[in-house]
Amino acid sequence: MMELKKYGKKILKKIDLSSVTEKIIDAGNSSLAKEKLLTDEEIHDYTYELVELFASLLGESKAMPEETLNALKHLMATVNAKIQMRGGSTESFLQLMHYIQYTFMSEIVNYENEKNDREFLFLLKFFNNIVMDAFRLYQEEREGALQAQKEEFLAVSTPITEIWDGVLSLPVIGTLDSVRAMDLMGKLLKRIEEKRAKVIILDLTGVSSIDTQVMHHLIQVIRATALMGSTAIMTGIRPAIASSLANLNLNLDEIQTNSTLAEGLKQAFSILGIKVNKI
Amino acid sequence: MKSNLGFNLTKLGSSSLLMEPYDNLDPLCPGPMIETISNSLFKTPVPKLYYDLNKILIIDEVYYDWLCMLSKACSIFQTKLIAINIKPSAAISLSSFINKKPPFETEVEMSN
Repeated sequence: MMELKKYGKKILKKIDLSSVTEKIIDAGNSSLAKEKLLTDEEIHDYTYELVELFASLLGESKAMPEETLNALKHLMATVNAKIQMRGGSTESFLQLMHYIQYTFMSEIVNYENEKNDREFLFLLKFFNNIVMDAFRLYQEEREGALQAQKEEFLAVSTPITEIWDGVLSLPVIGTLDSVRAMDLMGKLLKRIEEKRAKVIILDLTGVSSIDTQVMHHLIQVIRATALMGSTAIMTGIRPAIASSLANLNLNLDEIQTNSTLAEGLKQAFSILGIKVNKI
Repeated sequence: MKSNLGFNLTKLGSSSLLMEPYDNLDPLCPGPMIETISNSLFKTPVPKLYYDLNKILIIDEVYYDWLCMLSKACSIFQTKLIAINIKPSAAISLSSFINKKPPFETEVEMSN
């Protein structure tokens, strides 16, 4: 950043910002606008903003211009995100950044036949660092969004419903891994406590495959349920899963099973001492 | 009956006792507690002893051993030990290290 103070203003004096801006807009129109990743208006506005921020950074008298740097990184992350949203890749964004870098550096190279090696090298380093930072910021935001999506999926894929007084139903959908199993167990036990549920029906109709590890998780869920005083019944076991279970080296004595949810409900009634009569 | 050993023992009619452990119950020193309970069951036998785990957030191996010992002592007097109001966190911690049914029963709440 000390180099910024040393070279920044010198470089700025050698650059025709309006010419740089026009060249970048033309390049953006012929690539990003053509691929409909950014509109003409967006290319115009973003280019002006980017060039202004780059110029501000170069002309800064402070050694660490945090505010300007952060504003630039956020703008770049925004542009990248917009390109990605419209089906572009990070490559498209990086190509734009490299073109901006190239345009700035061309101005230096061509400047009045002066020896501009150090300023040239500084600009190279300057742009590389900023683009990498912007990319890192974008990655963090993306990972945050993915994590939020994952959590939402977990919430949706383990719906726990009270289907009768004291009877909870939990249809397990999709693949059950360690993370989901722990999440499922936590939510289920909390509901058992809230509802004072005496029977839990774990429906596996939506489970396509099961292995030893998944079964271990389910057995732990069933064991924890029993420790809370509830009886767990497993239903919806398809023939393929039944074969897998039979082949696994696990003790299945503590598991009560039924082929369908309806049968599971009948068993629940029997446990609760409830008789259902036709009117 | 309030005990100095860290629990409260309450008679519920003629068929059960309710044991409520306090924070100062020491599962590492079960001897005196077992003696007190045994005396109570000897004088007034009941079919059920309810152990209220409402305030216990984690059941580790030490606490589990204490419950198993208590269950054994109860069975000598034909009394069933029934743990009630187990917290989810306690159920998860217990299920993580036991691989068979505990020797005592568990229920959501006291039954009539």
